[in-house]
Amino acid sequence: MTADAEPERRRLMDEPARRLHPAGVVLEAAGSIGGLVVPIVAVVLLGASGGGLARSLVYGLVALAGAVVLGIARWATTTFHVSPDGIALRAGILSPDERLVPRARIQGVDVVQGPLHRLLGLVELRVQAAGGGKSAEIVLRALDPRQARELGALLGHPVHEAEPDARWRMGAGDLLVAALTAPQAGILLPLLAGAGALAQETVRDGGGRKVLDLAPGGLGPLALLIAGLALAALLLSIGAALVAFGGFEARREGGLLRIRRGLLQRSSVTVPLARVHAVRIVESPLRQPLGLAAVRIETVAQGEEPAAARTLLPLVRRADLTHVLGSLVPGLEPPAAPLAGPPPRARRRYTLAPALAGAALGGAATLVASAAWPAIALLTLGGVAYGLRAYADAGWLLDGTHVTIRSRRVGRATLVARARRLQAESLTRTPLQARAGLATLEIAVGAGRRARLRHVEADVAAGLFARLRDLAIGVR
Amino acid sequence: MTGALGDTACRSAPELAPRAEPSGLLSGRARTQWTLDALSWALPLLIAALVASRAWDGPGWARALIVAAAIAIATGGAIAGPQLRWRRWRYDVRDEEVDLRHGMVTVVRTVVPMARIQHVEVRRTFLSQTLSTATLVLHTAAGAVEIPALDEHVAAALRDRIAELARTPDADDDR
Repeated sequence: MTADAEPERRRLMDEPARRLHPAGVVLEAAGSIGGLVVPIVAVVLLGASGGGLARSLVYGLVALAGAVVLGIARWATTTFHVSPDGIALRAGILSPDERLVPRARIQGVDVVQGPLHRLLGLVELRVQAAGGGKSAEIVLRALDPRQARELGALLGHPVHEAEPDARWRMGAGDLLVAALTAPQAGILLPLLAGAGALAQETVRDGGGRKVLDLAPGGLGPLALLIAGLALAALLLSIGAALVAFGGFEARREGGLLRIRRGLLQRSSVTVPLARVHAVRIVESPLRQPLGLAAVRIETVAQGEEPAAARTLLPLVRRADLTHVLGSLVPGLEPPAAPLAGPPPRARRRYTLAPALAGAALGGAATLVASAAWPAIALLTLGGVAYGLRAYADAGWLLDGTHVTIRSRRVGRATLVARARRLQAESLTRTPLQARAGLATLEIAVGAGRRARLRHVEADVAAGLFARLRDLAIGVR
Repeated sequence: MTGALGDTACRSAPELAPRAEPSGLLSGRARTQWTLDALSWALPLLIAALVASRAWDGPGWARALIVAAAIAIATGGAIAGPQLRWRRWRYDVRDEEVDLRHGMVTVVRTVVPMARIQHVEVRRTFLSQTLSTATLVLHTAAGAVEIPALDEHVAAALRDRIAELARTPDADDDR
């Protein structure tokens, strides 16, 4: 659909060409050095081994000069045009690329400020558009904050903050809990289990004498090592949480949602509420027992952003969820009414596959080491328990124009979506399901997030399918 | 269960008069195309089975079984499979949505609202070109959906029609 972008393109190109802030040269040069770090180190080391320090210094300086020249060339060949019609970027030294995002296609405008940006007092502006991966994003690497504000206002996505209608902040305590319950913290569990097993072993081998024997020479260093590893994992997890979510704040200013986060690289994501097609509430295995969850927003923008960028709430108490989401993304809070689930006869369909998988895994382990035979029973039971959980967690609700689907893979995920914004939906029936009168419904939202409702009554699934279809194409 | 659908949905069943199931067929040459495609693995499989049965000095019945199994898999995959797959494939392109139903064993029905389609692509391979068939690929923000092995002129006409329909801006010009 390039055709309908033509008049916009022409009008945009009539706008005067703008350039990035001159200090952008430093950022571009730093970027090239970052990309060349391996060859530079190799050259410097090579120089050091061959001809001593002086020569390696020369090589290093040559590389630096190259990076600066490259930075200047990049800066000089980057121009952009902005008008209320949209934004166009032309960048590239030898073969300039031209990218255009019409205003209507802009999904959100992000302001990012890395450590170097902060030093120079600059910001990076990222204009998110729908679809197509990396090319769906226009990145202006070095702008004066004032210019960034001006561009945001021109494009209809104001980047300066206004008085919020609702605001959610992440406290230091939340950050710590988020770090302790982050998936990375999962590394801790096997370590602790190992330490526990070791301790038990020593006690069972009995005799205070033996323990005393072991403690100084054998067990001590090992325990120390495990404790050290656990501590390192813990610190790593806390560090990662700090970097990603330090200073996290989500706020709503009228119809705009603004998410600010990051310790080293500060970013501020601005998304119009209407472009939030769904929210996804994720309760990971470590968090669910504590009554905690994380919330992500689903939009059609798909820049090469890390998952953290689309996090609306890194950690929230389940009890506060309705209230917090109701004020930040009104309409997308989880429904108060209970969800409907699959019929009881679907239960064994949920349990059979994980039970068989568990048995197979146990069987494989037993083949490797015959002493592992109890694993067959344990893993099978584990599979059954998981299947029963997945059955109990599965549920759905169509509430006016919002559809909720809850399911479990590792954690429990609840998707609350605007039915009018569904990207696609499908209804699947295997021969076994057909015989039992069951079916599976899947919906796709945003940039490809899918939610699956397995083994529900076939006529219920068909009714929901038909209704969602009507809503998605605008039939009331 | 109906409670969860609320008053707006399942209970008012008459309003939900299910629109027609999709009825469009793929190109008749789809079967030939898929058979030829399948030969790329079916023939090596047959040859490997023959070589294996020659080289292996096991009991005669076991060697015969290997060859028989290979023949069964090859004919199933290269001849019966494409026939069944072709017979099960149905599609419809309506003004407001694209409707697909397919699947040899598991039946999948997929609906993509027209307003969500971002661009359309006609994909050809060397084989499909010699058979004058083409695959229509519909891209949405959430991924792509394919209608395989259409008659080339049908694919081109559908592409133009969908491109035209998909251009109609959505209410909030938001895909």
